[in-house]
Amino acid sequence: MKPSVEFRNISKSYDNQTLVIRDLNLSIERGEFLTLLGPSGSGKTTALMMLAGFEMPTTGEIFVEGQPYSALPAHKRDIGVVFQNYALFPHMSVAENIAFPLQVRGHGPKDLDRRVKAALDMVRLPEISARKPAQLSGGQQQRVALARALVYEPKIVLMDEPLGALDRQLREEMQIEIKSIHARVGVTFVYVTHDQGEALTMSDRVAIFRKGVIEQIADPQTLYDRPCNAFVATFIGDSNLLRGTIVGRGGGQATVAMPGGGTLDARAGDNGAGKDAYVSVRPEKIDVSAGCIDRGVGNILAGTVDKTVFFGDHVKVSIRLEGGQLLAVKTGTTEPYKNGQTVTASWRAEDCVAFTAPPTRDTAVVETTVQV
Amino acid sequence: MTQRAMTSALSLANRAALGIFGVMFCIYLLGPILAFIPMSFNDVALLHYPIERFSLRWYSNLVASSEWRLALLNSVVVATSATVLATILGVCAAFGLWRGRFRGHSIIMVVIMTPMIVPSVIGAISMYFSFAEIGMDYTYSALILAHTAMAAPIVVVTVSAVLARFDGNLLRAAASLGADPLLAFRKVTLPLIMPGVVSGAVFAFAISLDDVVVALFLAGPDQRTLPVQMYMRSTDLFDLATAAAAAMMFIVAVAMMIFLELLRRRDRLAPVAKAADSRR
Amino acid sequence: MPNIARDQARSERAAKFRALMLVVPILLFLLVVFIGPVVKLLSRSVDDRDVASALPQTAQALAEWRWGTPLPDAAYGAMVGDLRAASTPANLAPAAGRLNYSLPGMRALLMTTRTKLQALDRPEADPKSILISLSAKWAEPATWANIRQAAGPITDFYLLTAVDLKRDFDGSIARVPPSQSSFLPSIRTTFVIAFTVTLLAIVFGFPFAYLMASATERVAGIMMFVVLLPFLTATMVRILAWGILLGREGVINYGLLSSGLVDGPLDLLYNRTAVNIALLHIFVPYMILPLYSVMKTVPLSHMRAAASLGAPPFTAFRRVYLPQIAPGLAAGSLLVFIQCLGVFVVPAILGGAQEQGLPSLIAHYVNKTLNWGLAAALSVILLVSVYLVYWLFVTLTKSASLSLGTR
Ligand SMILES: Nc1ncnc2c1ncn2[C@@H]1O[C@H](COP(=O)(O)OP(=O)(O)OP(=O)(O)O)[C@@H](O)[C@H]1O
Ligand SMILES: [Mg+2]
Repeated sequence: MKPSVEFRNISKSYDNQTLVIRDLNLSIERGEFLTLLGPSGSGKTTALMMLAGFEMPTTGEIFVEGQPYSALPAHKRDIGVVFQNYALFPHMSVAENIAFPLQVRGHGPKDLDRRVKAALDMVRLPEISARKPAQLSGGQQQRVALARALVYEPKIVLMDEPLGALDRQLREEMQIEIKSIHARVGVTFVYVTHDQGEALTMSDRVAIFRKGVIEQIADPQTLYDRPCNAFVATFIGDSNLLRGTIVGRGGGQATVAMPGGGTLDARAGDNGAGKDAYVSVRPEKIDVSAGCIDRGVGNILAGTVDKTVFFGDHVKVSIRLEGGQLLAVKTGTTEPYKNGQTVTASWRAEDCVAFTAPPTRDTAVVETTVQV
Repeated sequence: MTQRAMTSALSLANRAALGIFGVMFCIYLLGPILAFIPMSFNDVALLHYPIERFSLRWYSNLVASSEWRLALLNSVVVATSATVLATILGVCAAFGLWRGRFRGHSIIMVVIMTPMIVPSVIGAISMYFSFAEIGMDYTYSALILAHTAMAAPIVVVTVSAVLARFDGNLLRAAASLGADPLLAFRKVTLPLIMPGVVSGAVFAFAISLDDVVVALFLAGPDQRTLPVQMYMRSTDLFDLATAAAAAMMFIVAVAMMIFLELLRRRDRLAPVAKAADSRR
Repeated sequence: MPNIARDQARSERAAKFRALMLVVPILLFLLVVFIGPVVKLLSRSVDDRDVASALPQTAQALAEWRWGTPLPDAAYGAMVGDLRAASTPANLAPAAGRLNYSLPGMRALLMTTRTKLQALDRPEADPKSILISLSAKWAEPATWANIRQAAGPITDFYLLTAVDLKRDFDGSIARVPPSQSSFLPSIRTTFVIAFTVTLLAIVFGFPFAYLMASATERVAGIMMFVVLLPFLTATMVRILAWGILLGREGVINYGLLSSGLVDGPLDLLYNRTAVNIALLHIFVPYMILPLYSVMKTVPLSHMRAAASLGAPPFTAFRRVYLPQIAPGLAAGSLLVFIQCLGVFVVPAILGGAQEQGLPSLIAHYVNKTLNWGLAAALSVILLVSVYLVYWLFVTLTKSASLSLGTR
């Protein structure tokens, strides 16, 4: 079966000087919920706009169900788009907005009514069809925009930060709503956000964008547990990044010497040849105990408590390691620690990864002149 | 809304003085017209205040005079035709300027603004001279074309002002939903900028109706418009038939004013700030 | 894949082209109906081809001649030839008219000489003595110098005349004696009126706009109505209203007389004050509307912030408020000023002889004397002034579009 969408060697430049998308290769399965996640300016919107037909790729070709799409004007693509500010037509009622794509396609009035009603039912807004967009709340507008993008059964639906303008509670409701609609209609969703929590809860797969390239594309669990580099590790969820020196390597494992003494065993995150190591370990994987005990399991580092911050369901303890680096630990609220108290932090070797490149490494050099 | 910058800096006495000035200036603005218009209802030819006997005598004189009747008809025909042409040209241009990010945008704007900048006498004699060369002086078409040229810039300016508040994403949305550019313009852009288009048309109509100078040169006796006829008669300031014609023009002004106010209330576009950054 | 890049460039160009196609109609239309004719008119201010086309041989014979040297004899023969070649007086009329502008008496000289020559038999035999016998003026070098200067194809005669200068026969530029000077005073009148009215519009329009911007919505609405109603009323109506108000038998004199304040009617009309008052009335909305629309956007907090930072009211006004409303002030002043420069009907109806400026002169030369060259030269001066002001505005505000501001 052909993938629903395929970006093949796509590059994009707005000014013929700087590449905002660099040699992008991406294929999206039919029915998949794919999220593009990345910092601001990383090219997520640009990728989406090229797929929707509002921007042309500078090089490369986009295929939809095997057909090259770059030359097709936006209005012939049959791709639904939900815009960040919804772009509901302010002079049309909700029903007219939703009916618009059907009218454009020449549907008869009977069919129209039925499908508009069905679409409104789907987004659970059956009673507001006569209202104008200005008379709706943010969440309602969002649903109407979704209904409008789905009513003509497009092959693909694109959403560019559709929940950006909503408050937190409404956001979470809508996340569940969108996910359940996706499950029901089963079309391909491509979703853009820079909220990592949103990306992890909703997606089948997440593509991490940075400076125009995909750093990693994987399902949320893999991304969280096995980030492919230090950038992904720190971008998804909280992560400590400890600096050290590689002293041994082999069998997918690396041994890292810490500047304050002691060594850590870690999975090797990449096969870089450098000596510098960046060891990533998530705060919730770390155990803390008072005093200097050597329990003999996995990695053990000693330090003093620098600061504790209370979060209600957990406490974050900041530990100053020997050698000066800070280590954040997420722990239960039972044991109170005093500042300056000596503690031991420990975690299993398989819970940490050693990378040879820092997260700030420029994997994509953005200031490249395009040869066209 | 009620308080603006500087209010706090002004003392009460200053504010009172400013208020008195405001009232006086309002009288200056409206007074002359309000004193003039009622005279057309005066029964006697000479100026008499207060008006003792009201009559429509001057209006019946006006309607009875074939010269005035023709002038009235000419004004209506010329202003309407010029408004239609100027609106079509102006809306297309404003939309094109909004869509394309041209390098020479401001040069194009300077060209479009020419008829607003060039003093009307110069425009008038230039067009008279050129139309005369091809034998088109003293024709309706020449007058209509000339008025179209003079009125088109205001349509561009007015429509550009509403387009600046029009969210370009709406057109992208329309395209993603399957509408081709023409359909998107008809169904989405046009309805939303309609108040601006109509205001532009009203201003265009007002410009054509207001013009004396161009019509003075381009119109022969058969094309004489109402203002030209009034100008011709202005040597006798106290011919009250002229006052009656003026009263009619004043009523048109009131109508346009009400119309513009209604349009303003119907404006459905968001204020500038909201949609500003979502364009492209 | 460079061909895709080319496709992209092409499709972007196509989109831009489509947008441009919407702008082209108005550009073409204005070019044909308005801008072309204006350029054509202006070109007449330097066009000087009538004489050379009516008197081709003479023009050629005089081409090498310089003032102060003896006239080439060939000139007389050429003149006789040219005059006899003109089969009707109409053939000679444009050239005769043109020569008459720069040297009075030339029209009559040419026309009578031509008539007399027609009656003579073989005048070519001794053209010099025949011409001089027909009129002593043919013996004067000035006559010939005038013809040579007008031999075209272009001239600075009209442009110089329009600023009261003339070119002497030896080619130097000289001032026209003040007794004959007629244009500089009109130009001065035009600018003085425009400056005065613009200044008045600022003095009265600024506080009025400020009042409007700080008033409650209801009061501001009423004030807007008071501004817009006269603005939308035809200018002719407003001019006549002022005529009726200020005339000898007008409303004000009627009031003054019947209340016994004066013995006879005052002459309120046909003077500078009447013109200024009416012009202010007509153009002050162009100042108020843009000012009001910028003033409404200046938040109160800015002036409060300035005060809290220690700025006294006037400093705060000058440093914080004025810069923010400057674009509105610039737009208003430009609109009022350039419209005053071109005003023609108001002085014609409400002003005296002293109030007739450049536009009236232009109309006069077109209507009465059909001196298109001079009308065109005066238009050049007027237009250059207007565009200088407009250019100043465009560079100051970085916007070419003139708008009254969105309400
Ligand atoms: N129309 C445009 N013209 C020129 N440059 C653009 C245009 N649109 C985007 N860019 C540039 O391209 C880069 C990528 O922008 P893009 O909008 O795709 O980022 P994004 O990942 O969507 O960011 P955000 O999360 O802030 O929305 C940015 O550097 C941006 O400045
Ligand atoms: Mg974006």
